[in-house]
Amino acid sequence: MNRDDDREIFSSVRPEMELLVRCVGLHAHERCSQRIEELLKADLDFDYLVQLAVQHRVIPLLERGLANGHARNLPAWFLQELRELRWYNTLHSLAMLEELLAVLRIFRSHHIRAISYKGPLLAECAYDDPALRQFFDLDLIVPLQDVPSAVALLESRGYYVKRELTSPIRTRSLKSDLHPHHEYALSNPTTGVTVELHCLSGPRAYAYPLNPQTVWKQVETVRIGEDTLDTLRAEAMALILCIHGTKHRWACLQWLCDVAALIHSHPDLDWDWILKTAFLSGNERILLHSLLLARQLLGVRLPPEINAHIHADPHVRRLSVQARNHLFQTGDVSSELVASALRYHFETLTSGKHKTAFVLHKILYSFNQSLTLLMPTEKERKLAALPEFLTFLYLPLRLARLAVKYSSMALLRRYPSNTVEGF
Amino acid sequence: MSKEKTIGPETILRASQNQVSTDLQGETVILDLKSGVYYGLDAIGTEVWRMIQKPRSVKSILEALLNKYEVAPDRCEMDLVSLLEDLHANNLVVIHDQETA
Repeated sequence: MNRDDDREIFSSVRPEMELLVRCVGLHAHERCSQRIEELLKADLDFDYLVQLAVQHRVIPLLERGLANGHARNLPAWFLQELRELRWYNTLHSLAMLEELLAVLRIFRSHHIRAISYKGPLLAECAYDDPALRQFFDLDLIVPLQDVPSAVALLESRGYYVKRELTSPIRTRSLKSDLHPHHEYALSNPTTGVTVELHCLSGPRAYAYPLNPQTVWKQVETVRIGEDTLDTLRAEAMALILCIHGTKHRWACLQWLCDVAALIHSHPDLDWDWILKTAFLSGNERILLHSLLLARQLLGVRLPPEINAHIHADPHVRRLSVQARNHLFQTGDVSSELVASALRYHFETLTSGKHKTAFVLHKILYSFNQSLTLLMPTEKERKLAALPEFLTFLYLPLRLARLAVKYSSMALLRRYPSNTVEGF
Repeated sequence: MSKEKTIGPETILRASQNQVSTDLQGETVILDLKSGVYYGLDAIGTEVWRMIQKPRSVKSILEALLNKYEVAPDRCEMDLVSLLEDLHANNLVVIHDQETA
């Protein structure tokens, strides 16, 4: 954080949030150490700190950052809780890695090539430790034509199709409706593991730098035990992480930590490729403001050419401030004006073509969401088992249920806690 | 799982490749990818584990430990060999000569 004004960045932030950011940054053990000590002397709400770390998925990084040299200033119960949470995450991460290897072995034996990205392989590539990252599902890219076979193989391992990722409309009879170009999330109720199958097809809000044809050129191999696994090259991964974080307006600190750790662990990154690909796919502002954010908050060292590009575009600095404010915002953000989110996303795009595509995607997405909301769910089906020719009656039933649900929620907001007890 | 006790001062060994391990507050959790069994190492075990990420002789590990800790050499060697034999019996370390032979 030598180039950016620390005090301004954290001026309106609760000390717990500042402590969290400083502990998970790349310089947690160097320059930040003194400031961490100062913060630990303040009257901190450690319950809130745990809550923030859970929310931002950085329990292992926080524990590592605090345990090394700062443990003596921490309440014993807090340290114990943090250690237990990290223990749990370690066992969970290793179990997920084991499952990933098993799934990939099955795919390999059926000649299905799969790229594993994010999840345990990102932990290994970026942090050199499979347990330093919190993740809840396994993301795999499979060729378009192999999606149905991959789904069938996962089903034979106890998974069931939880939802379709490509379209927000929930499909009812997924087995018969399996579409080869769609993407699916499958869950195993016994192990609790979710596998997401991606094929990089279908419309997206952001122009993706990779597509089903080009992604296979961006693969590198990682050796885990006796298995050699395909994953994305660090350059492609860095760009995808920036797009993913931007899509969610950097609401989670872990996403930024991933970018920082990936860059830090790959000192020979091909920045020319990253820049060129970002410019060609219209993602340059997405890349640059994300990198600026990682530099300001986590102390990532960027090459001079990247810093020059950051400096040249005034939108980049403005976007990073917006993203930072959103990252620091805690609590319920659902009520926040959609307009500010849209403005941010719109500003990340540079060309008219990409802006038009973004707006069209948002309109289509909202339309699909509305349709999804009106589709009957299991609850309506349980309320009244209607014969096939009367299924249209589920619509008024669904509308009635929604009316009851939302009016009760409105009442609860108006008369909180005990005034509506028993409602 | 029982293996012949072949570990002596001149033995060169390293961590098996068929495992993943992670450092946890100075301790280590190891997952044997073949058996799916988890193992834990305490702080000293973790130091030894770090040293054998690359091929290393028992003698040099012993020297490193004796330089760092005030412990009787005989006791240290006995504990070290015992730990390495345990790891070897559970396929978590490989003896370098055996591997290259």
